Amino acid sequence: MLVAFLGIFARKKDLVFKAQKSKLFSIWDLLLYGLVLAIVIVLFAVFVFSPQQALDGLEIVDQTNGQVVLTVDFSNKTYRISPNYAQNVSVEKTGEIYQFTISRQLNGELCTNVVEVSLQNGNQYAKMIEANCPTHDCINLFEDIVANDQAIVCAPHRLKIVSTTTSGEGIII
Amino acid sequence: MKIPAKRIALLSMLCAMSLIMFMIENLFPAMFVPGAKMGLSNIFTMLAVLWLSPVDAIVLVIIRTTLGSLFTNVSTLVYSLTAGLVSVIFTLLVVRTSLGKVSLVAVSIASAVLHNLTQNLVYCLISQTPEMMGYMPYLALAGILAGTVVGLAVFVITKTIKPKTILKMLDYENTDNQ
Repeated sequence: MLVAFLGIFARKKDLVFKAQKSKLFSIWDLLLYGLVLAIVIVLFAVFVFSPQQALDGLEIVDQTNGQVVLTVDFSNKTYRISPNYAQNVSVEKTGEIYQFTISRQLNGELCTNVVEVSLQNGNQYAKMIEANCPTHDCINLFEDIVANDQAIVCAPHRLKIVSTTTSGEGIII
Repeated sequence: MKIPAKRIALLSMLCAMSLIMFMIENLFPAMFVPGAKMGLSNIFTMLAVLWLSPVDAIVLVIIRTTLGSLFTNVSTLVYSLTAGLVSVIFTLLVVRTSLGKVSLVAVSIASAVLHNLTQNLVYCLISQTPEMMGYMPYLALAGILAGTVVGLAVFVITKTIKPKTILKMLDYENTDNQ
């Protein structure tokens, strides 16, 4: 047993030959492929095809200190800007669609993100529409938030938008 | 313990190539899913697993992730280091126990999926964003794609380079006349 255990950690000459001789497909591959397939199916069943809760509340969090910048309550159609970030956030309103521009200083650079939130009944969503980061992952790769428990993360600006159940705080617009 | 200079040279060559691949890949945006990359630097991790000792392969992963994140973005070190270590240990176990019974492509796909899932899990835990778990299925699919590409590349490389060349580099022929 111990010998077999140590054998795993020794250098093996025949591995070089085995690697050269190995085929593109061997019969035991099916076990590994099956395992991977099972994981994928389970993950899709759990995270994609499970019933989604309707969008309830939204939080925008500054990940540098964990503070909440902004909360939106979809059921009451209200939003609340945290007092600490009152100077960082500006709001533009077109009908029931709000554009929140969040600009803050991070390592001496001005980081700007524009988040669009729609409070229209039947068409509630939140998405990042502008960011002055180099990658734009948050705009191109993340899906729009349309249900509870979804997130958009802007990694370079350390900002995240998450949809959660609201705490009930909010100012009526 | 005596470590032959040739072995160190080979390990540092693999480290350097792996790091260069990591840096080049970092210039391109992620593919389809946030955070998903091709992981082409893992071609050299696989080669180290096949040609060198487990310790060498683990050292390669630590050096690549540490230096790579220092050159690009330090905050990603925790995720790439844990995921890299988990997947390299998985690769080592599978390759050392059953290579020949399983092909390189299958091992590569399985460890790429494991890498992506570990990375996302660690990210969710550290940044306290459980909502990101929703991307798990897509990350697994991206892992299958990336693993296939890496596996095929390793397959071609091992077929192209003669075992004799590698064994000469590692001074094996002095100890064994097989």
